[in-house]
Amino acid sequence: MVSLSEITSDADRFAARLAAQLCDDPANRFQGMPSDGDSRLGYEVMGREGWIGPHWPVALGGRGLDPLVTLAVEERFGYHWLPLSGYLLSVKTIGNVLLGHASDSLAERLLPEIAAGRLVFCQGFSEPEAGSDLAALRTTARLDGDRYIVSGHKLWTSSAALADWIYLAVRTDPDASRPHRGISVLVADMRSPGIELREIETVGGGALYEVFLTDVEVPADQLVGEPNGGWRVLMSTLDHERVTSEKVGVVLRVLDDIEAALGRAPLELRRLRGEAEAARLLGRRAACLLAEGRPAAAAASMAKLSISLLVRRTAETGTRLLGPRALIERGPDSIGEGRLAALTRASAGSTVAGGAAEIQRRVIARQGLGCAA
Amino acid sequence: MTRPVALAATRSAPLHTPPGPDEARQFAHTVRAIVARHARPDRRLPDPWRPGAAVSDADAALDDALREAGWDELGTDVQLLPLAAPAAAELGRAFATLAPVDRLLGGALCVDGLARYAEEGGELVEPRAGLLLRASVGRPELLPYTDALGVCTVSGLREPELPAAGPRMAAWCAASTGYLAGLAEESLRLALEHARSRHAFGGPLTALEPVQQSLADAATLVDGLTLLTGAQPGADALAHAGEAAERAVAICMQVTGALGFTLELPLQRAYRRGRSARSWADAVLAAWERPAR
Repeated sequence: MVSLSEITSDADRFAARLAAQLCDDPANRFQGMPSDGDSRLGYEVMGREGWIGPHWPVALGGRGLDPLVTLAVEERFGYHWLPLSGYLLSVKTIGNVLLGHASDSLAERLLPEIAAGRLVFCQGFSEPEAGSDLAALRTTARLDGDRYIVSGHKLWTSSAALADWIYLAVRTDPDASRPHRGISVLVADMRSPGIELREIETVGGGALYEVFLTDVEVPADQLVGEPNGGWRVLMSTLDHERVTSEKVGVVLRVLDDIEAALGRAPLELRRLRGEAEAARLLGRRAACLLAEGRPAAAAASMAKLSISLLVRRTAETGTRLLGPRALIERGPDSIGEGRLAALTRASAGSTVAGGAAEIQRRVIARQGLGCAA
Repeated sequence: MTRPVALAATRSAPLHTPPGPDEARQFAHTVRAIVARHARPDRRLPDPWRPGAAVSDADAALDDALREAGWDELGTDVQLLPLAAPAAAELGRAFATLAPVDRLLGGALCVDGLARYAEEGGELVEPRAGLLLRASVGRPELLPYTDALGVCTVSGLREPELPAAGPRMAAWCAASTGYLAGLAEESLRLALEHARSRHAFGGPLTALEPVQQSLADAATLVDGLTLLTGAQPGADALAHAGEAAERAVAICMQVTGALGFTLELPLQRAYRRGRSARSWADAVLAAWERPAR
């Protein structure tokens, strides 16, 4: 049996090698945080060398290891600043949900392809009138024989240009007694007729997309979970999305960069390292609850809130300690090959993406502390 | 009354085996029982502090009971490091004296020309540049201070080093982190109790969105600290814990409104203790890291 520390070391060496391989591609650098960047090549190499879904069952392309192994691996991916947007969506979020909620045939069809690094997902949740209030979504899916006809408009979709498939939250019962009761989850091939994209550039350096869906035909057996029972699947999706161990690695890398530039480790940096350890432990707790199938919403939101705030504090502290130099984005005068500057830009989105900080706090208060709705 | 389980009795494995989580829990339970025995009927330990007072909350009876249970071994036996933070969390949860935590260093803590919990004829320990310097206490003149730490000025510490400085500091860092975690945890419990029972705008405070948002921040900080307590927290964890506990307790004070501001409620103790403990911890960590001249 390989120990956690051994496999973490292996992952570290792999991520360092892959980062070196990708660093000459301008598209792979300076996007912001790793969650802002994408690389098809990087994703393929991860899959080919067995680093996707180590905790998934062997029969589905994984290695049958402990979920904490995956968490540690993702932290090393973040530390080495690999472009991870497609990975995080396909593996950490959607792949894990498919494992728990997809039919056996759908899981057997999709998960081995994801694990092999051949299939990238994007996620169609938000809409112009449904952001934090996800239950307000309007994209419809009408059952017509053995297929759904999907029409609507998704927004803030990461990795849409890279993705092969899209994971869609849709309204299948417009007459449901409560908004969240008429929602379902579908997965669809991005090459389906009727799907169009529009790119939206971000201050982080990566891109988000609008996804326009016009009478897109999706086979009915590509439903995840029960018809009109998608809310439960969506909540599980958000729980997985909110455990972002790669950001612990991001923070530790930038702290190393700042410390190297300063030539010392002031107390402020040590404080942030301690905070990163707390964020790591909150993430581990949430991952363990998710793996055991226990309620994890509040724990996942705590993990998300803690690391989101830490990302911002790290960028603020680095900028304050290093002054104007902190914002140089390239070249020998930059801090950490531009990572601090990139983080400073990207950190503005850390308390928005994946659920705004205010929403995390609401989940913690209501589901964790028992505060009244 | 349950007789406290002495530390030696918690060791079911041979001495060279580090204690596991069960032993840490068991010893923490022992400390909790000791603290409960020394509390008043309202389950609080006495608080001698008033604004402007020069006082100490050191508790000789509590010290003796902890010593008898094996507390002092935490500072000298590196194998027992995993026990320090969970046990000290019980002191923090009770808003108890910090003196036992300092004793893990080998004497009363001294830093930046100030000492806390110094006793006449006792020993002072000053962390400096990776060493623990020691000296004898003269006649301490307590200063009016924001917390009942028995603070006095000291000068001229140029005495020999205490052996095993690294392990003692490790135990002190772990215990200090645990103490702060317990302090913050109990503060959140008090704030939640208040917010659930106090009604405004037609419902409990916990139904108000701004209150929920604040409590969620405090709870996230507290849970992070609690998890650190079980992970042998070191100096970086302590550097975070001081600030996190201070922030969490400040939120709890805000949630309890004017009531929390009064001396009648115990939360102000945590507010003062969180702030003082953080500033002392920061000073100790800075002195410990400071290059030797």
